[in-house]
Amino acid sequence: MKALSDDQFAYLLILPLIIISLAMIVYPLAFSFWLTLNDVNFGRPSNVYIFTGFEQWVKVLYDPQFLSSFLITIRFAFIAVVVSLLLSLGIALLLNEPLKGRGLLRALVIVPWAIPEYAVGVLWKYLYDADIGLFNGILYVFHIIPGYTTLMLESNAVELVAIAYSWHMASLGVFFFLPGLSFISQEEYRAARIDGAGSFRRFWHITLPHLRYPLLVWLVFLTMESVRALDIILTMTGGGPNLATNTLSFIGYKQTFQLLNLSPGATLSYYLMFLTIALAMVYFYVLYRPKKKAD
Amino acid sequence: MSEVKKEPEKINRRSYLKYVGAGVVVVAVAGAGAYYATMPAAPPTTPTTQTVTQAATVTQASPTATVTELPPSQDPIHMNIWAFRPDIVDANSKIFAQQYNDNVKIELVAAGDYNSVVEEKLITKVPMDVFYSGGQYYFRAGRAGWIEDLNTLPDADAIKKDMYPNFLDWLTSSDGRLLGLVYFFEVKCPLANMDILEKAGLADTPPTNYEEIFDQCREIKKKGIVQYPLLADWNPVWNDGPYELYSEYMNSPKGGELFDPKTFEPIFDTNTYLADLLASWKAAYDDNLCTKDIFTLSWGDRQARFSSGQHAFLVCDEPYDMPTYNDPTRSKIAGKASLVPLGTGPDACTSWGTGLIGSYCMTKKDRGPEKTKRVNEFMEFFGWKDKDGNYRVAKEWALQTNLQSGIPAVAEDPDVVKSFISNLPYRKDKDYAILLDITSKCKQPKWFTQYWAIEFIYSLGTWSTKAVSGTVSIKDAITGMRTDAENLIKQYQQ
Repeated sequence: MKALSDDQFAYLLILPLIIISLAMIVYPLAFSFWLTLNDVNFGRPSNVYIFTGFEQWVKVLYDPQFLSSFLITIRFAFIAVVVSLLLSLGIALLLNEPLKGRGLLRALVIVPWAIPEYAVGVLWKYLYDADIGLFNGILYVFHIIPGYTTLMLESNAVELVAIAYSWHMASLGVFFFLPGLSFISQEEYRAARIDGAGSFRRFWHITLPHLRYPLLVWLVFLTMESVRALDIILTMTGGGPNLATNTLSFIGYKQTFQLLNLSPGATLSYYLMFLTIALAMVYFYVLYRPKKKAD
Repeated sequence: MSEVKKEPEKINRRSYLKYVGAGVVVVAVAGAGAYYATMPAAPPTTPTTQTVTQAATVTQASPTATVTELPPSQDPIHMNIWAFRPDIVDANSKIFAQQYNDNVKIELVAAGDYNSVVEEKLITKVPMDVFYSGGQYYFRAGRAGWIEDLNTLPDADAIKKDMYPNFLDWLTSSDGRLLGLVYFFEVKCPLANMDILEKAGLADTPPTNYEEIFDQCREIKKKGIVQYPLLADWNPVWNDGPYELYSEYMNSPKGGELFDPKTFEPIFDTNTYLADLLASWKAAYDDNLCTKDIFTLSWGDRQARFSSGQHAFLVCDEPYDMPTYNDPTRSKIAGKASLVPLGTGPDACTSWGTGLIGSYCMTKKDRGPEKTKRVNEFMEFFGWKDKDGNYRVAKEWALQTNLQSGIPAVAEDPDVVKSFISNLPYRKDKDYAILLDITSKCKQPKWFTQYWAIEFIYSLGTWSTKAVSGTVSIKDAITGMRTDAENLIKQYQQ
């Protein structure tokens, strides 16, 4: 019997996974897409689904709430990505140093990630609390504020929630960067020092290039997660104050599960998916450009 | 001599299929083994016995009931509950199982959005026979055809006679279907921290309407007693919505219903009391009577804050929280949390708050006559009387958790009255009289019965927040609410 080629063999090996993926990914995608093409109304039990074509796609796109939520989502994701990246890279660089107790620190640093996002939201909500919050207490004790005050306002709610989210995510990023850092040869740093390169130049020209691919993976993952973040918003602000943290993910959840508007909810999910894919493509283009061939 | 690299042997189709087939057989055998290993054991020859202790004397018999746990049947009664004292539900379900020779499976929705989870279960038709519901949700479920009309219960007439008439009204859909039985009743009314009011010299002059509550808060703030005396319920973002808004509107002599009670057309506009109501809220917000994060506070947040002792009035809360506020291990205002009595006079509110029912609902499906009989018995056990004719479950909720009952015979039971009074330590009997007064006069908006009620509540919350925070004018906010209402009515009339 003719032997299979390498490609054929590879495809056959992943065939079970393809079948499972079709069942668990493609079917829900197809069903949710079908929902976007219908007016779904459970208050009309005799005719729950009425086909409307792409009407919902247009209606959602032109809803003023959509643009507002889109901008809030971008703002939230941007802050979360930047703060998480700085935190995770900083902690990874620190943990790469020969510190005493480094092993224990490396074990402890994963704790924020291990806490469920819902619990992180509850924790940080109480940290920011106007009556009994720890941050208020610290600011008051050090006479920075004359009395307890509302820290989470409409103007800064996105930033404060993003900081809480970054605290949760950054510890995972540490473990994306640590392996890459450990593979960088110390000889390169020594040579750079001899050539007079300061710490920033050593970081920019030696450390960062070695972390290019872990950085790409982490940025894509982090951005996707930030754009879709929901639990932390549900617990910390419920989309408020005054819709200030009404991200696309949150209003999609609200429409689908609380208001039972399945069609706009599904449509919002698709727009969210397109946004996530678009951002991932930008990262790949910027960070994954193949090197130019030498002349 | 260099080593010749040997090419790995390529697998052919026959071998591949042989290995895959072997793998499938292994998985199937392992799965079957796991299935049979986890199957329930054969029925024991003698039933196991355990003792279920109930904290209060529910019947004339001893509080400790010996329950014989029967072998599980293949088709238990499924009940979904939220995470409040599941131990009480579990204990009572065992007593039911013993009395009726049945078995019950309790499923707890442990955290998060209970109503959304249950509605998902209703849509996807997972096995569920009885579930908790509340507020507007059973009306929505009724309209969608997800729940049974409980007028079909064998003892429906007797049950209805046993209930408070207004509660019966609140459980009945606009086409006359009984959508649930009372699990508990609550009225979201103002609570006061009497310690602060005493310090301000206001303990003997209770407010008679919501504007007077705000005025007293101003006085308290001016005297420097606390920084944020007002703990309002303006939260637009959770399922419950801004209860304070329809409470104030409905109970104020200048307000009323937002929708015509018969046609459900909106009857509010920029010229109605709603504009004044929002203006008073805005003034309170601008005067810093409350914290600026007031719009993000959930029920649990407000509880924690009121317990901290830093607020004079909690404008919309449930009296069943009194054991928490008066517990010195959990609250700094223990002994000083009290109800605000209803006033008299032309400007006084006709009542405080909005009445709400937590209910037991039965899913609508074809169970067959035998299972239907069993589920009916279960509904009546939890929502009315047990097999011995005692109001077992309702009385236990009242005694153990301070939940008000929908049945006068339970609410007026001497043990229940004594228990309620013990949780009102500030004015004891007088506070209990205030509670009865508020309960007997409280109302529920008629438009709660409409399918679009939950969506409209979301709209109310969103627009009122924008108006109070100054993002839009009050006129624009009311116009927005009205437009949303008209659109929803049109959408769901199709």
